[in-house]
Formats: sequence, structure tokens, C-alpha cells
Amino acid sequence: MHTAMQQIINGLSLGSIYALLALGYTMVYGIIKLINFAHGDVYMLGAFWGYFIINKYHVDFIVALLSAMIVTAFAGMLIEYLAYRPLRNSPRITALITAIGVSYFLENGMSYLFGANTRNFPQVVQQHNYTAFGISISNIQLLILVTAIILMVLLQLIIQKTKMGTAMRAVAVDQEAAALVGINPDHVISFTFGLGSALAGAAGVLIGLYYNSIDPLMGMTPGIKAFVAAVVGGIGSVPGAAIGGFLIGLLETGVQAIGLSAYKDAAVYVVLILILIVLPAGLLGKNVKEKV
Amino acid sequence: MLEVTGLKVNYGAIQAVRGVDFDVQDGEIVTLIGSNGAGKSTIVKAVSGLLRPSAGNIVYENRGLTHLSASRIVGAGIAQVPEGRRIFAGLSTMENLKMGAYLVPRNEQQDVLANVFDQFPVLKERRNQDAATLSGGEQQMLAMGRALMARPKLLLLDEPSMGLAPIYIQKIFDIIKMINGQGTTVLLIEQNALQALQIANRGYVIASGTVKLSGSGKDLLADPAVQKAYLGG
Ligand SMILES: Nc1ncnc2c1ncn2[C@@H]1O[C@H](COP(=O)(O)OP(=O)(O)O)[C@@H](O)[C@H]1O
Ligand SMILES: [Mg+2]
Repeated sequence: MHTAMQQIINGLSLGSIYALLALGYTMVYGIIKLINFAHGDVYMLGAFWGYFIINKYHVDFIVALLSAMIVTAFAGMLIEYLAYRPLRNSPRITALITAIGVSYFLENGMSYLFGANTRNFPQVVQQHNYTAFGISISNIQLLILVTAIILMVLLQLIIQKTKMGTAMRAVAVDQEAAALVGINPDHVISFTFGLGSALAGAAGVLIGLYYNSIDPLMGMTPGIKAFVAAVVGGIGSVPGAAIGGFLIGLLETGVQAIGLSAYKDAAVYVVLILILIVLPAGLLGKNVKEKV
Repeated sequence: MLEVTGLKVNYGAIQAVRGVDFDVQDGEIVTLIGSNGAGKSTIVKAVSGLLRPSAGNIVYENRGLTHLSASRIVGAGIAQVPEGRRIFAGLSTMENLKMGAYLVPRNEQQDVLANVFDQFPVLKERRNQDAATLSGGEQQMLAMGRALMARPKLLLLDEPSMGLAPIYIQKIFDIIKMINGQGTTVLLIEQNALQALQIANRGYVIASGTVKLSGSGKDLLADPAVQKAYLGG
């Protein structure tokens, strides 16, 4: 019972990071039907920014987090502008292959510029462990969970209550009709990339604190897992991505806890395959037919 | 107000519109009638900036539109109710209407909204409902209300009566007359030629991407060729 509770806590804090990442996948997919394979690398950029600004300017956690979000928001908008916008009217597969190219570019570019070695992420927050009823939780786990939840609530408010958020939903439903009411779809798409990338940047700083190590390829596996989380939740669905992220985090820690650490990644892919077979639209996805 | 000359629009190798001339004067209702596939929607999409013409000019209030983006064209005063309604499913009725007023300053939106609710009381009743749950006729009213929220001087309506029950069709045509009576110029695309010509000042018959005939609504209604081809007589 204790170990189960313990694993749930560990799973939720890891899952909240996947959830933050999955939100970016799902928002971008929702609006331009692109699986942005470079999204995991934006998360890496966020972690590197956090590393840089904490070491160099000794800023605190909040400043590191917020500045990483701003930097990655701009990085995401730049990627969209340079790599994806020129392909807006191209076949989808072209944009997909480009996304893979952008991902390689960021991974190798960062390795080239800063070296491929693993670095220790500076610990801006001193770790303390609290133990109650035999369950141990660290202040960093709490910080991750609380930060992720605050960001998700803010995201939900932006999407549901603001003019730009409503425009995002309108463009996701029907880009042409959105243009006919005076929305500039390019602005909305750019905003969506910025928002999703900011969440990825936040996730990068949080994972740096949690695992204490970063490297230029750190985005690959979490990127894929977050993508799985988005598919599990129903790609295009914002609440679905959040739930999917937590589920994948719980699954991964659960598999580790029963002594199958070596298979924790495989378990995630098994879930992906099962979901695609049983529930192709995901948990909260709409079973929309492709428009012709 | 709107002057279209020599308009040609292609989809890849397909020439959908092959040199069309027409104009709409301030205050008029002008209709483009013609059967399915004639090129009517392509014409209004070009006017709205969703498609780029391969040749020809679209001039609105002395301003060329062919290089403006769709959202700029809305800003210039032209709104479109697209074929098939195209309301934003998943957004509430109210959110749909607010999106219609995307370019209208916030402090002026209340007046426009009150006016739209006057014209379409059912939208007020349904304001918090997901627009996808509205009936076909209600969705058409929402699409019209959404376009009116932009306060257009020229309203383009692409087959507003398509797929509606007869009682709604009559209602839609009454509303178009009313909107026009309040000072909005209307370009009405219809396959329902009889009713369109009855309310229009002038009409153009479009076939195979060209203008086959034009004249006043009355003259076209009386024209034997029009009667034979479009009025089932
Ligand atoms: N997206 C498209 N791609 C290729 N051809 C199209 C497209 N849309 C319309 N067409 C063709 O252009 C012609 C005119 O279509 P349209 O303007 O929709 O006619 P209407 O509105 O009068 O029914 C038709 O032959 C139609 O098949
Ligand atoms: Mg049409």
C-alpha cells in the first residue's frame, strides 16, 4: 500500500512533465494537423536556457522558469515561421518530414555549439524530503506538480476565456471560416506554437531540477512519450493531453516499481499500440472523419 | 461599390471561373444564380480573398482587393456567409458571434450584438449552447448573425437557403430583405433562382464559369431561357 502510494506520487510528478509536453503536441496538431517532432527539442532548449541563466546570473527558480518559457515561446514561433509556414499548403507528409529535420537540427546544433556531454543542472532549489505515513515526497516533486497544475489551469483559462484562445479554437475547427470573420490564421498559429513551446520550456526546467542532468538529446524519449500521451488522451484534445501525460507517468513509474525498469519505455509503446487498436481517437478525442 | 472585371480563377489545371464581369451598386441586392458547379462559390471566395484570381480585377470602393488577405477584406467592410454555414462547432453561439466581431472594437460590440439578437431572437435563447447542437436553420441564422457582427457594408451570402426546411427558406429570404433595408448591400448566391430573383434588384446567370445572362430580377424571371433552365418551367 505504501509503495503503491509512493509510486503514485512519483508517477504524478513525472507525469505532470509529460502532460506539459503533451499539451504542445496536441495544440499544434489541433490547429494545423502537424505532429511537431521538434517539440521535445524545444523542451531541451528550455532546460539549457535554465542551466545557462541560473549558472551565469544566479537567478532563482521563478525567474529561470519564466525566462525559459519566454525564450522557448520565441524559439517555437521562430521554428514555425521558418520551417512550417512556407509549407502550409504542401502535403502533410512534407511538413512531418520537415519537423523531423528540425528536430535533428536542434539536437545536433546544440551538440555542436555546446558539446554532447551531459551536464549537471544547477540546483536552485535545495531538496528536502518530507515523510509522512511512510511515504516520502520531496519539495521538488511538489514544486513540479504545483507548477504544472498552475500552468495547465492558466492554459485552460487562455484557451477558454480569452479572445485569442477562442480564435485558436475557431481556427482549429475551420481555418477558412476563421479567415472570413477577420482572424489572421497565421497569427493564431504562431501564438499556438508560442504557447505550446512555453509549456515545453517550463517542462525542461522542471525536469532539470528533478533529474539533475541535461544533454542535447534529452528531448528525444520524453518527446516521444509525450506524443504517446497526447495520442492516448485524444490528439487535439487539451484535457486529454493532460490526462494522458499523467497516465504515462504513472505507467512508467508503475512498471519500474514492479521491477521491470528495463521495460518502462517499451510499456509506453505497448500502450500506444493498444490505444490505437482499441480507441483510435484516444480517451477524449473526437472521432472526426477527415475532411475532404 | 464592387466591380469585378475579367475574373479568372483556377484550381490547378481546372479553370473554374473563366472571365466574369459583374458589379454591385451601393444599396442593391444582386444575385448570382446558376446550377451546381457553375463557379459561384469560387467567385465569392475570390472576392473574400480566400482564393487568388489568375487574372482580372476586384475593386471595392475604389480599392483593389486581389492582393489583400481575407482578414483585411473583412476589415474593409465585406463579410461572407459561406456555403454550408461553416459555424465553429464546439464554440458556443455567443463565442461564434464574438468571433464574427473579431475586428470590431470591444466597446462597440454590445450594440452590434443587440442588433443581431433583435434580428435573430433564437440566437439569444441559444447563446450558451454549443453551436453544433443548433438545428440547420438555426445554424444558418448563426452564420448570418456572425457575418453581421463584423458590421459589413457588403454582405456576401453563398447559398443561404441550401438544405433548409421550407419555413426556414422563407424566413431567410425575409431576413435578407430586412438586412438590405437597413442599409447593407447584398450579393446573394443561390440555386433557388425563383426566390433569389424575386428579392434581387439585378441578377447574373452563371454557367461554366462565365456570365450567360444578366438583367433586372424581373426581366430574368420573365426570360424564357431562365425559366427553362432554372425555374423548372
Ligand atoms: N477545391 C477545389 N479543387 C478543385 N476544383 C474545385 C474546387 N472547388 C471547386 N472546384 C470546381 O470548380 C468548379 C466551380 O465550383 P464552385 O465554384 O464550387 O461552383 P458552385 O458554387 O457554382 O456550385 C466546379 O467544377 C468544381 O468542381
Ligand atoms: Mg457553391
